[in-house]
Amino acid sequence: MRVSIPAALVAELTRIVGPRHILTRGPSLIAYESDALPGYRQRPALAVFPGTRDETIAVVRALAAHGAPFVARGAGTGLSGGALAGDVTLLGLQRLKRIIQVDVEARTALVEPGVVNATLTTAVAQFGVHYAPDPSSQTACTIGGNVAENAGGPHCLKYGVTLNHVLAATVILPDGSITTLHAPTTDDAGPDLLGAFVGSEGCFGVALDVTVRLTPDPEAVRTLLADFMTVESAARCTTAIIAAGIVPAACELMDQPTIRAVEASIYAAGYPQDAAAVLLVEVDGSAAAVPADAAIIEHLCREHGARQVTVAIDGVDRARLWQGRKKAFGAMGRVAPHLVVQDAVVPRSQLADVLTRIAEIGTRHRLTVCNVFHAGDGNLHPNIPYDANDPDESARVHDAMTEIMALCIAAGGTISGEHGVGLDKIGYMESLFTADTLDAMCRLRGAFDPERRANPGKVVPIHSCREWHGLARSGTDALPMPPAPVFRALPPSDDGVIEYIPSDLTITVQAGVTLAELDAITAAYAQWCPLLPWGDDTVTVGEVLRRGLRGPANAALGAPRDLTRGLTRIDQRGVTIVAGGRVVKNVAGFDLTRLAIGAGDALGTITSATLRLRAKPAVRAALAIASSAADRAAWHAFGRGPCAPLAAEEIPAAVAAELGFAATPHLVVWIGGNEAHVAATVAAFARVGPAHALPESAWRVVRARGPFVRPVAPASDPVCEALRARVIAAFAPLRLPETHHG
Amino acid sequence: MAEPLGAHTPLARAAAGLDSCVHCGFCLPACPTYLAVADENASPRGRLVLMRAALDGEVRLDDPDITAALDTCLGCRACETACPSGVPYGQLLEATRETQRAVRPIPRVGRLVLATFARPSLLRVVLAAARLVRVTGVARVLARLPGALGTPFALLASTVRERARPYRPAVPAGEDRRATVACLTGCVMEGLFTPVNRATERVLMVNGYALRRAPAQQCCGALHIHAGDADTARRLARTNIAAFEASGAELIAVNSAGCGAMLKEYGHVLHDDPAWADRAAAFAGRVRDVSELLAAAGPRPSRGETRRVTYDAPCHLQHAQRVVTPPLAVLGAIGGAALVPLAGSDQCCGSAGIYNLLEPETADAVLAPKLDAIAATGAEVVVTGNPGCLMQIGGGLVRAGATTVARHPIELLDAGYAREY
Repeated sequence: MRVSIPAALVAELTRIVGPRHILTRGPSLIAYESDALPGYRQRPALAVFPGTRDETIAVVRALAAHGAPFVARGAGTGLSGGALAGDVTLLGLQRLKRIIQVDVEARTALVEPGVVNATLTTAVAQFGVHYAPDPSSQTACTIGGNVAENAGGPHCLKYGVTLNHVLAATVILPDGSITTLHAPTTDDAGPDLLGAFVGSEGCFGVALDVTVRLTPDPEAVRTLLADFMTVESAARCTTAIIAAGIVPAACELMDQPTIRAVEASIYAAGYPQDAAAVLLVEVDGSAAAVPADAAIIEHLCREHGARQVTVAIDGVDRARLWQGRKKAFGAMGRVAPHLVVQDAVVPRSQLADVLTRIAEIGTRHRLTVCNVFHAGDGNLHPNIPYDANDPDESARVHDAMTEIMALCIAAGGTISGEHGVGLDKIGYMESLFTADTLDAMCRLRGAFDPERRANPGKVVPIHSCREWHGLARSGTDALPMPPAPVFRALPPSDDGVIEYIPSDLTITVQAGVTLAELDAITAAYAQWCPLLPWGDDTVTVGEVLRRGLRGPANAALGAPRDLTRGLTRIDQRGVTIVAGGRVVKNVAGFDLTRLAIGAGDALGTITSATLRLRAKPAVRAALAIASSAADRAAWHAFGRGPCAPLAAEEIPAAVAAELGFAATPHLVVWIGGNEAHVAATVAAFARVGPAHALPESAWRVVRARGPFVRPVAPASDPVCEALRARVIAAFAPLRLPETHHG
Repeated sequence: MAEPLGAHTPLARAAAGLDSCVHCGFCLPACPTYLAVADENASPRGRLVLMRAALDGEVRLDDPDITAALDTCLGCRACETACPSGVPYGQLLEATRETQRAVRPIPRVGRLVLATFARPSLLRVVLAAARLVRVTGVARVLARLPGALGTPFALLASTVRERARPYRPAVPAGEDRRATVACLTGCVMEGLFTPVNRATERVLMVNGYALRRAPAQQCCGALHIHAGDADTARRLARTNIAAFEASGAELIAVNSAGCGAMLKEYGHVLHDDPAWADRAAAFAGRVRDVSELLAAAGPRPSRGETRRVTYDAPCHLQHAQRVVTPPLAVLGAIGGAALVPLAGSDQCCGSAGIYNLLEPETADAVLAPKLDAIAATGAEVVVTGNPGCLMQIGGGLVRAGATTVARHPIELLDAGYAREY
């Protein structure tokens, strides 16, 4: 079906951007038929490239006035067919590439959506900071695209995904209205609209500018390469590293077919070609902490059968080892003419089993499966090089991929960790989510884009939306999934824990579990969920999430939105919605999890939640110093340096007295890490002034008395308020039609 | 809908190269025209898609959108360095342009230039006339003409050199002697950069190379093959292979990155000519950029003036030949030169053979960030080892009224040696 674009719209768009920045002839649109997944081709009806924010606004409003659907596109490096604009308007944002402002003090940058990810990092390198999310396409992909896809990358294992690094976004909704969405900074902030927008795959609107967090460069980095004679031993080694309480900055696994492709490319990194797998592990942090962690990792690698463990000795070596990993997809272009790139996540504990089964599936279908993936967070990328001109082989690839996805879902995983659903995964959505959850996603989309003009036909199958139910099912039927193998289920327990697999750093609990109970359960495995709100630990998980309760360690350890992987809630209509999942990374569908955190009762009642756990620092301590005695400059430097504490507060005189100090304001810090790191931190803090060591329990007193500074909520605007009201209304109780009396 | 291209066409024969593209888009930020225009039709990935579409008959090779996309390609091959899949982009571009010739002639300016370069006697006359314009100082005045009108004069004005102090190095002998080399004199190098060619000979001798002459050599044919005139390129290649074989030299030294890249590809250019394929491959294996020869020899340190120097890598050295560190070794041997890094030194300057004459608007757009980056270094000299880049950057500096000058690295090294003799 070819939808014609009205001539009046073309004329108006031409007037807005100028004739050089609009493409209407067929041949000029061929280059925009695909993104980085060329198996899908759809020709846009036209392509328009605004050069400024004002032009972008004018273009979106013109499209709205004509009721025209559109698809936003950045660099076209997506791997899900998400930026395809078949027969509609393609809105290219690559000309909006200004870094508007860098705030070195606040460590933030305000950028336009077309800024290339790596360009931002290069531009701010002089300030000793970087933009942490680093998808493998970072040299080409744009921040706007990263926001749309909630992009991940190797270093997300430690630093988190795009969602955790976006502080605000000014967006133009498909109807042409403009609002700024902020990450919550207070308790009871209401539905997290920014959290919902990030990862919405271009279906909720277009970001005009994005405020991102910049992360300080680590003081020290060690990159280790270990080679293994079986893939399973490499996978088990990964689990052992995480279980040992170390969170590497990255932990990547490449199997033999991948190693060989990389070594045949110009990015040859010197990976041993006879190894069954190599593990690339990076640890970073303070100069004191890193050597100890690296030594433990090296030991674990050898214990799991690593033949050789090499450590990158300098920046050049490190870059070379990474180069091979980051360009691995491209290098597979050498193996066969076509490549299917897959993206699924399984609980880390299932990695070894899943890999064995994937190999079996490959063998059965006579295909070579190249595995290159983020082993640390269980984010698999099984890739199959093949020849699309061979119909038999193409059919086998399709069957194998369907089986692999079913396998991952059955293992408690998800269908996309970072590539998004787009067109490619839409057929798997019904295998992963219940009809009610899919309907909830449709409702959320409807709040942002009631006419569904932004990126139509992507992410959620249209027949999943109740009001569309009954329309012809066209092209997006659920894929027939083969019977899946059964994975071991843990026995239910009566302490409110639904599932706890320590090596996955994940726990699913009933909402009524208190933080104290949660801590008691996880402490047995040297883990914790550092929600740590102001107040005490008698509060329940459900309450913390319902109100989005914040605490003093949020900046260092994550806020509720950063520590929640999934939740189940019963909304005001009585419908149960199961959002998110159990795995570290999950970009399958719209984010109903973030939406409900801090939303109060407006979106219903949270019944259970899956939380992200962290290794509890082996050594913890609290230190205090009289504010008057502190060298303010040194205090500031300490808080921002490599020994930055878990939390730092200036406490008023009364609290200082309660802790047994002179009744004057004091600076209190809470520190943690391995022994060497804590020792270095204590030494660094001593430079601030004469410091006192406190029992760790002192920190409980600080938490109970705080907060000492009331956080200020960012200003809202009428567009944002209206959007919030629409979101709440989408999940409001069903109202019976009013009957008229008399 | 057009017909699929016949199997005999150069593009169809090169089609395997298209298959290795996985569409990842890593080439986009490496492409100077994409950065300037921000349209994927002006990107390597987009151009490869269009080549494929033409091959499959989805679009005609003379479609105006297709010709515009391909004509704006600089051929800098920065995309090849960025490409993890090893797509032979340069070869695909040449094959496409050659295939295009059947349906669309080379633009008139291009035809004129190519015809001149293919005829040594005519070329000598044209270059002599150019020198005349240069010596009168007219070039410098006319360089101020707006837009494309002033471009050729600015390029010419940038080639003015002060008289170098000639010296006579000893002919290397005994243990000091390295290989015997014959220099490619080149068309523009010999015509407009004569002092650089003489300096190259002296510098090679100082570093132990014994020189041989190859008088029958002609234009390398790079301009021709880039424009799709592969027949002329092949004829010139055969002439040069024979000429350098006759010189008896072990190695061929080239001080022009563009010509050097072409000479190193003679093996590919003549690969389906049974009579010449082996000779061409052997010849290509003996070609060296002058910086490679010097780096292999040390090179011998020189005492130059104290100056702030920055280096811009010619695309055909950095991306086509993958010669990255030897020019830095040459600069390192120049005492007194304080090397300042140049942001985006691996990016094209917009010269690209005769591109700046055919597509002046895009060439200027590509040059602009380069000039900004040079200004930011505060360097007195920007060094680059290719005549096209020397003129494009030098011309841009002339028009901007900058005091910075563009020089070949050999010129600086030679000036240092000259103080010792």
